[in-house]
Amino acid sequence: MNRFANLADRKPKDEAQAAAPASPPPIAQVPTPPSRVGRKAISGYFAPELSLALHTCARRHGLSLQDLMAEAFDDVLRKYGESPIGR
Amino acid sequence: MTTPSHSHTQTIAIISQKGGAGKTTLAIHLAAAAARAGRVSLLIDTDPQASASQWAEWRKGAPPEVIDSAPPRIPAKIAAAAAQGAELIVIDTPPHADLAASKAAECADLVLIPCRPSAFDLAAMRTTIRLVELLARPAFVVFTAGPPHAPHIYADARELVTGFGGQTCPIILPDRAAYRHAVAAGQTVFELDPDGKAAGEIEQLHMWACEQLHMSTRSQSQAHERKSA
Repeated sequence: MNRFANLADRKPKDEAQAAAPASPPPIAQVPTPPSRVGRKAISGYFAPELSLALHTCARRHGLSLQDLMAEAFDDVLRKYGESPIGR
Repeated sequence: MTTPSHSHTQTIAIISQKGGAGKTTLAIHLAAAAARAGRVSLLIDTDPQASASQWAEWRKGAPPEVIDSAPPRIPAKIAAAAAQGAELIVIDTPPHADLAASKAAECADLVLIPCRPSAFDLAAMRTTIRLVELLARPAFVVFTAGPPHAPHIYADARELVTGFGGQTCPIILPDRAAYRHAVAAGQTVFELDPDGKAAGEIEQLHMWACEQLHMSTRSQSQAHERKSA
């Protein structure tokens, strides 16, 4: 019953490993900062000038860079006729 | 737009932005129901957590077969599996994965969006519905993991989905302990308790999905006869 095994990216473990006890492994506890729980990163590579301008703009308005980015993304969503998410 | 259908191969994508809606459980069981009906079924696991692949390892190669895939390779794998005789392909996707979800939906003949009938899940499901709308794929929200006897909850949830412009699957898969026991043992509910409620509901869902895909809902014994002839 390995008709499609050739299509798998991850090759099956060898026999010795396969014979290991088939029990669910403990779930690894990776500490996630509370501010990142349930959120995901959006990133991009830009000119240093843009980075500086964004940081400066955020600072000038008493915002975090993330707040500023959230505002910018909502603006661009509206521009393209999508609903803003706003968080 | 990518054309999904490979003549005899039908593909179902299971997507949902929210975790814990039972994507993998649904994917495993749909593929298993198809295998049980005598079809060559394949589950493509695009979740980096590889839950479905882990489950397949526990069951030591018993059908349905599970292979992994990076999202960009989904279309190529579907084409290759179709050429190798796959009849039903189910694609499981991770939560919060725009690329995997959109790639899977793009390749699918039918998209199922498992969703708990809870306010948080319903809100997140709105995003998923918009994604499949953009890709113009037939998509249905399947209510999962909710209470078995709560008609009002499901009626309200259906109304909300309809309000978002989505469609709902008439079959509900309420929370049943059988799923947890079966999956943890590398089984399906068909193996754990073939006459149980969970098995009955999965079978109904499978029949309904076959109807949506215009696949025969009969047992595929004839297909075997054809092969041996």
